[in-house]
Amino acid sequence: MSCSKFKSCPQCGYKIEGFKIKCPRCNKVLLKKCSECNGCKLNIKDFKKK
Amino acid sequence: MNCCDISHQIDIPKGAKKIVLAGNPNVGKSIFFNYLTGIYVDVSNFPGTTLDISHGKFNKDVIIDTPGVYGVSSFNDEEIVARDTIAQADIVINIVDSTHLERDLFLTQQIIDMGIPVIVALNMMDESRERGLNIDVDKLSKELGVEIIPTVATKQKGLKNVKEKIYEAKKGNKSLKLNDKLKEIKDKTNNERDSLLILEGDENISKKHDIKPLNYREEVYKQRRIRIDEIIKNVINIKESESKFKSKLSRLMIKPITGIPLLLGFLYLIYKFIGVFVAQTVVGLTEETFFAEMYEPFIKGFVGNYLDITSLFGKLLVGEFGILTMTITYTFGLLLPLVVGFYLCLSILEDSGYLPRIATLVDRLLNKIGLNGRAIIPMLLGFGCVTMATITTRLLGSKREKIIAIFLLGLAIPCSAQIGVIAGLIAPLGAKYFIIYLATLFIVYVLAGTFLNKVLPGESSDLLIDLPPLRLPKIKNILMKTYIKSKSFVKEAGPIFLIGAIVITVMKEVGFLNYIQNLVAPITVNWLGLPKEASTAFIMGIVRRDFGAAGLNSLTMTPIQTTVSLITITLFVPCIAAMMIILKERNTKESLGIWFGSWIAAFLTGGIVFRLLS
Repeated sequence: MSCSKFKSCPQCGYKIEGFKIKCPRCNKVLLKKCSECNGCKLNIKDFKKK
Repeated sequence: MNCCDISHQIDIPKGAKKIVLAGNPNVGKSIFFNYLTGIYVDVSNFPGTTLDISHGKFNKDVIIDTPGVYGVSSFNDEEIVARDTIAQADIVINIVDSTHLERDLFLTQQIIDMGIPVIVALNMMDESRERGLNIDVDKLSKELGVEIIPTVATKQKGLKNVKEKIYEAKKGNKSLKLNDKLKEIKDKTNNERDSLLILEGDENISKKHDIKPLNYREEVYKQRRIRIDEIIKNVINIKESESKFKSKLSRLMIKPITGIPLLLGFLYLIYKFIGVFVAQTVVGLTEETFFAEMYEPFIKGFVGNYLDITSLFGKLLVGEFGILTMTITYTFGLLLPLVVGFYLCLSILEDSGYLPRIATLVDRLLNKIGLNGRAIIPMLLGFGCVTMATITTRLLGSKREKIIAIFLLGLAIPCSAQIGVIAGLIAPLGAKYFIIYLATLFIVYVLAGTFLNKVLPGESSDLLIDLPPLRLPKIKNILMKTYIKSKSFVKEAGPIFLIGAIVITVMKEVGFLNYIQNLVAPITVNWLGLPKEASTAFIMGIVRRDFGAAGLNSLTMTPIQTTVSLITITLFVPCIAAMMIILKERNTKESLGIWFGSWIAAFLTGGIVFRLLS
């Protein structure tokens, strides 16, 4: 999965690998809804469940 | 290896311990540094105040302040500086924002995982209480295995406790489960701290030990995040009670429909204070009444007692561009009151937490010229001093954003001293010319930004900024900041003015000034429609733009000429000090591009405005 909007966290600069809803380092919320992403076919809720 | 060694930057006495202040951006590290060392470094209520390392003595040891970072790694320049400093620390004082514990503890846990002795100052305890966050400090201390000291640094609460407990710092409870891998690297490097960074894939540290970086960053970070989330669950109890007025005001500041009128109102107040009260009333007293009518006749008479004031040396001292006449009058009578007035306003803006809210408000507008809202911070600081603002462009995410911001700063943002002179010259001409001046600068700003946004490769980054709480600024901090910055203005500008005055006097005496005036007359007289003598102001403007603008003060010009000359000098080349910083921040090619670009933009715009007005 590499369709997330950010290649790096806009707050702390952490290089994002794969799909991230929150930055693992500074805990910044990166995506709040699916439309903010560039086209991942899955739903954010599914990731949250995982 | 120089890349990872701070000893070539800081003079550390033999046997002295390196006590490092570390923490996320905008947590109050600089207040701790000021308290522990007695040395003043800038303190503001927005992220990124500290962009370099400062150091000072503490007993026989050395305290080192670092830029705010979210983790020990090398994702940007500030992190590299902080990483090298933290990795070599004997003790770390980790400042943690108690209102953002889940964010800040990542760095704390990483420092603990590196095996560095640490004490934690749990700062902003008043604000976390206000927000209804109940933090069990003893439990947090047990979970992390280190001393935790609650503090409210802005009110000096708990700082004494921190000072007394520095040497009680100890290694805490590690969170890592990859101990086998870590041991493997440690056997090769013999350095626990570097081993962890290599495990996390830090290329610079790996290169230092000639080891291939490992790719366990995601796993290590995930483990650490899970551990922190567990700790947070155990130590925080939330009761909803955030100040309703502050959160309502904060929302009003961000929404365009209310935020723009609020911003315009604030800017109008600043204009009234600096442009009307300081530029006219205060400067009228200092420049005209005190310096021009009292000081200058006195100093001319005094010097005249000892030497011939019509000689070259006499003119250098008390002539038209004399060191003791024009330089002193411009610096202390004209520019200093304006600089003090501006820094007072800017300090209020910085300390109240309004600045990041303005960034959010103008984000969409700045997107059109390839910047995001964060760029408003250097832009507003540029109205204070372009040199200082150029350094803060490091806050911006990409190279193209930095180039656009630096060019626009150098081109269309007048510094505080220049604003004051301009306000004083244009206010008597009436609203029409003031609007022409502002509109021209705005058009040039937007056109230059749009052009650079089109031609520069790459993409601009999105704005995601932490909004600090709104605070009532502390008068002591505002006065201290204004004093320090104004003092540094005199220290920086004084010698440059002095050299400028000597050069201009010598040029005038040997006839070179007249030669240049004639040489550039086709531009100043024919193209810009200004008197021949205006070229002297531009020569002075190469040294400093405010010096040049002040030079226009002594010319007799029509309203159109005044407006054209002020537009041209505002858009003119950045001053020498700003150019030195631009050279440091960017490469020679880009710096020269900015310098020559400003020449072209200034004279082209000035000429067009002259033709349109006449």
